[in-house]
Amino acid sequence: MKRVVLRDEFREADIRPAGAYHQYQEILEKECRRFFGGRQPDLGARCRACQAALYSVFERWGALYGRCEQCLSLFVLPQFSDEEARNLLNVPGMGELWREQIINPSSPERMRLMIQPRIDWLLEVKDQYAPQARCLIDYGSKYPQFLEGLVQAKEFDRVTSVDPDWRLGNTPWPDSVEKLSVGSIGINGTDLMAAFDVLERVHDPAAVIGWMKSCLRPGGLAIVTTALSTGLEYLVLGAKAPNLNPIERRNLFSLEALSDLLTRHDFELLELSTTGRLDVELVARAMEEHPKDFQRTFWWYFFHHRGPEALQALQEFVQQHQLSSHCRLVARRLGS
Amino acid sequence: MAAPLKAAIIGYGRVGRIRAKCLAARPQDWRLVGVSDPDRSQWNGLGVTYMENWTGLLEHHPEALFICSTNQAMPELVAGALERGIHVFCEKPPGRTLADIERMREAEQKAAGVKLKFGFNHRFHACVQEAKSIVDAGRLGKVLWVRGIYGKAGGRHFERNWRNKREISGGGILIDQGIHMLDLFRYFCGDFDEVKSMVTRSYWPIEVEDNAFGLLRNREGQVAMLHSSATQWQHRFIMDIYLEKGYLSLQGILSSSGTYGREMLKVARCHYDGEGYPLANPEESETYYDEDGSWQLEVDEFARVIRGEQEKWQGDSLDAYRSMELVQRIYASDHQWRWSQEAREELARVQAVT
Ligand SMILES: [Zn+2]
Repeated sequence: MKRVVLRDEFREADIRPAGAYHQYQEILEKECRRFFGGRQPDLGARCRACQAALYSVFERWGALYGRCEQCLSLFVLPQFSDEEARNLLNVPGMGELWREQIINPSSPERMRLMIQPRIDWLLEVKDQYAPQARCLIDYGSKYPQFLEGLVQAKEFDRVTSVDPDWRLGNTPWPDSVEKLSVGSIGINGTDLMAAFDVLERVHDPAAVIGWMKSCLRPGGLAIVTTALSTGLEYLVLGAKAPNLNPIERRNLFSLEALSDLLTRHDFELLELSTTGRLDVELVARAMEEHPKDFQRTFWWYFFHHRGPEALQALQEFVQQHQLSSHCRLVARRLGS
Repeated sequence: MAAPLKAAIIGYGRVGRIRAKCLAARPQDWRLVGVSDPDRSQWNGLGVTYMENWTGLLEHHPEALFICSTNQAMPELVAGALERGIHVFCEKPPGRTLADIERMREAEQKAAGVKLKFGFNHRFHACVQEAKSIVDAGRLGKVLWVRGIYGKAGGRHFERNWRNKREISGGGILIDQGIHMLDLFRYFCGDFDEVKSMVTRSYWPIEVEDNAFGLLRNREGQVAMLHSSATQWQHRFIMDIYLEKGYLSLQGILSSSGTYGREMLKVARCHYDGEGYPLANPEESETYYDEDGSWQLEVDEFARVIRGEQEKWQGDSLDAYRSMELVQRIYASDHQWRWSQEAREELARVQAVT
């Protein structure tokens, strides 16, 4: 298995414009507090990753997060359905804000820093592990441009988007991409399946992996990105992690739990990298916002008494050693 | 399912033992029936039949021989095995001279259907395989040039090592280690027609080279630059491949000694300014690999070749011949090098024949 480190200039503001993102989070927090306010946390639930019954909890936006004592995965309590999550986000203006100001797919920065590298990565994976692949399914698509880029590369006979993010609304969609729902995908027929930033926001990540396995032909590839509970951001900041929210980051697996999940479903991991490049920036910001929580810790000292070079070295270190909070993986479906 | 192939190993030093492990890892493909090594000190039981002399192994009717012996012994061993209808996996370098590899190729031609493969395991390293897939995909355009540095510090009693006795090895660091880099140059660029070089014995009290510098060019105009060194106090493996739209840099290679650093592949694609000029220092991605599967992959390929499941293979006798030819041309083209005249004579003889 291999792991990859990306060395580029990548700031949170490039992918999430600060003002609009703050506004989005405020609405989301309010909705979360309302949603979770009237519910019991269900402390008898088990870890979503390893089923362990023992975990510690912290509060975030009216919900509880359990951190599994056994595998360090994070999961929201009480659990709720994907339908409920969708309804919660379905407040007036939310879709437009997300679509037009947050993910703003027309932004050249987002295209350059996020979408194009994803296209390049996917094509490289295809070149290396599945040069004969002709069909691709993208689950939970967020960026029409991503799919359009893949169509334009002329490497696939068929590009299918399954259950695209509903917040895209009636964003124009590339004609050549077919839109389908989960139930309409046949089994054992797909060469490549991509799921970018989906696992962390679904009710049952294991079910998604199981479904991907069933759709892939033996030898087919799963290409996945997701947030990880064992990244610097979440392990150092816990409840103070700026982007932790119980709707879009409701199930964060640890690196080990994610790896186990894939292996358990008969996948062979070809790549498992933590290519997230925002941990250091986010930890620095959270420490500024919540000084009392971090003073006199090693991290406080490090962030306040060492210069930008040390911070950059730390970010590279966490990538190299699989300690950043966003990962990407390629896994091959085994079996016949 | 076919029965496992009966295999024997000649030469049970470091490399022979690695091959034995590879065979043991694939019981469905291989059954090791014996090992021969003239050095009795190697005879400590691993549950394998030992013979002092390789002909003793023949009584066990091996279907394949792994030849991990010294260079001067290879032509006779390889030819002898092929003549008996035994498939051969022979470690690099393919003998000491072009005459040696020619002898082996002649035997191969006479032994119809018997397979001969040479161990150029670097082609099977994960970083090389990934680089190859990126280059072949063509997204970064055509290869412009490659540059390879491969060197080691020599080590304890280096001056006494058989690898530096010309009678046994045929040459020094170039034929022993540099040949891997030459093989990789060919892997990425094909054959080279033009060679310029400087070959030196600059530090070690040996009769062969401890440093070789080569410049190679092929008909496509691609240039490859080699430095092979036995005075590289910090062990190093670096191969840069520059293409029209980006570059690859292979750095470090996982080896049994573990001294060449972590195996890593850097990839960068060019970005361009408004007028289309490439901007300096594009962002890189670095890929790290934790396992060296190269020895195993090579042995697995050999099994497929013998079973007729694969028609072409890496390290066939022409690959071996061409790499040896480059070694000899590097020796030949530096007229100040003490053995260059002999190399020129041999190359002239080959040209006369072909
Ligand atoms: Zn757990």
